[in-house]
Amino acid sequence: MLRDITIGQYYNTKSSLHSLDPRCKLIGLLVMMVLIFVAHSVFEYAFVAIITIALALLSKVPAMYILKGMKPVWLIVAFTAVINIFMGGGEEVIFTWWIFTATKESVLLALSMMLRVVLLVMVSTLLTLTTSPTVLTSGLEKLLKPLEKIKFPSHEVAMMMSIALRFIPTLGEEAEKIMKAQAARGNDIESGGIMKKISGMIPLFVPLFISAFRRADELAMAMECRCYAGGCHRTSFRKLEYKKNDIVAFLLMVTACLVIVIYRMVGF
Amino acid sequence: MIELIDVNYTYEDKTPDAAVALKNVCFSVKEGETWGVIGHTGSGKSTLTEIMSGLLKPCSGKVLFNGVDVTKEKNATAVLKGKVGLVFQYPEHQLFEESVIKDICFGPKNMGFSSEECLEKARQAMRLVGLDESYENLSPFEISGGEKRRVAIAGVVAMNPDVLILDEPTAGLDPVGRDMLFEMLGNIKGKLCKSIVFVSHSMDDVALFADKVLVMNDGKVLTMGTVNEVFEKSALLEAAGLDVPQVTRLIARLKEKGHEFDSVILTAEDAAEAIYNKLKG
Ligand SMILES: Nc1ncnc2c1ncn2[C@@H]1O[C@H](COP(=O)(O)OP(=O)(O)OP(=O)(O)O)[C@@H](O)[C@H]1O
Ligand SMILES: [Mg+2]
Repeated sequence: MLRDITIGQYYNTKSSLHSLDPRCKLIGLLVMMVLIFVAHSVFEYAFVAIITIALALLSKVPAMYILKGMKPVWLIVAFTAVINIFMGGGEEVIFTWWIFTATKESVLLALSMMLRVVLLVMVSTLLTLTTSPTVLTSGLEKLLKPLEKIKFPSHEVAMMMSIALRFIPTLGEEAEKIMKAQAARGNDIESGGIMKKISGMIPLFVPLFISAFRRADELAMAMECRCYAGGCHRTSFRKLEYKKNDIVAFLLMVTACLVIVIYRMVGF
Repeated sequence: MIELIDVNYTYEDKTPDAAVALKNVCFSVKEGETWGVIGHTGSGKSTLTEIMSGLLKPCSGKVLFNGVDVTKEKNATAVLKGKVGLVFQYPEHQLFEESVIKDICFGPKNMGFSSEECLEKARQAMRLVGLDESYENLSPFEISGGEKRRVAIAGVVAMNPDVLILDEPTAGLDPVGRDMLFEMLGNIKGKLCKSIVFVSHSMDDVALFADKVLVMNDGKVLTMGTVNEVFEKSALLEAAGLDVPQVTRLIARLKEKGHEFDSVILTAEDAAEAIYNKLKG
């Protein structure tokens, strides 16, 4: 159900991924994203997929937990796949249905897009699964610090992000509660046509938005009461320091990039 | 009317984070009864209310409504629609329509009544919860918290359920609001609903308003019976981390000091009278 959404959630355990510096992991995520986007050949796809799986194994988070958290993503994945299959163009027709035709190229394109989305979601999920929100925030803040020169509110952005992550499960729980409460009043979103389903969503969304705003308001109030003021050079409780394993991780990232670059130069 | 037989319920069953909420619960509500359900936090009271209203399907065991096993039905909520009404904790959070009357009509409308019938039912429910006509066209978001709760309760009452179940209806209300709520429940009972089941953390509320008490402890039924029977077992309740009503405690103290009282005394009036009689000799 809704409370199962684990995107953005922290999984508390001890692993080499957990103990890495958050800045190192954030940069790692960026590197992985670039690699996933530039991947073009079977070798490159296999390479990034293997890295992702290796990272998942390293994180010691149960595979079921990671996959369960990606449930809401599967719909998007399926949707992109269908769009790509039929809109891809190309020559070698595999089958036609009504006005849609699927070609070999479009199917391949769809498959690679699917793989990309899944891998992307998986690496970003791994980041939040292995990094607690507070640590993630301070890491992000540190990384964005240089941008403050051009008046970028790095602290505020980092804070907003961590609060958003924190409230995902709360809103999920809330949504479930409201769904049950409206079901008790005979609201039916399971049966009926699409129009009926959509109108059945109104009694869920209105209270959910109201409670989200109420929560935001209360939280802001509570923070203000404790004299919180954004980026006025706050010092942090935990000092971030790069350690030996962070250096190893950076070296591995460089190696991974080099592998792709060298493959490109030799392979073509 | 509602009968639970050996009901078990586990959240997230067959997953690593399974949480057992109910264990072998047997419980029945008959016509005309008012039940108070008590138990410490996490003892399964809310789960019990959801099982009784068909929102949750028990993992094992039966839920009979007028002798019909609703766990066999595909859509238990649809079968129990309009027969068992459940008011959730903080029900005011579920209001969504633009006017009070429309929100109250939501339940009857879903049951398939025509708009005139809905209006009639909604007006009747509003009267019973003590909201007059001037509220009809107000937005449910611009009235006070206590009024919102009445609107929400009216929204369930308007469906004319045979059994009305309320999960902690007094949470967050002041003493006056609480008294009004119980007065309101008294009005509703007999007029629209045949039986009432309410969850409460306050023993005094239960002693005052319920005729029967169900005590939950760690997902199991600790004890149940009439108010007198249950509050007599103060040692058992205290072992489960629960209180007896303040008045009962006072009388127990007096008994310890050697004063004799013959019956279990639950309300302040009874206590005053008993003590008065005692003093008179
Ligand atoms: N949606 C859920 N998912 C997983 N576990 C749950 C869920 N809801 C309740 N539980 C667990 O089931 C048990 C019973 O919960 P329940 O809400 O029925 O207790 P309660 O008696 O109503 O408590 P309270 O007095 O705090 O309202 C608790 O241990 C709780 O942790
Ligand atoms: Mg509860």
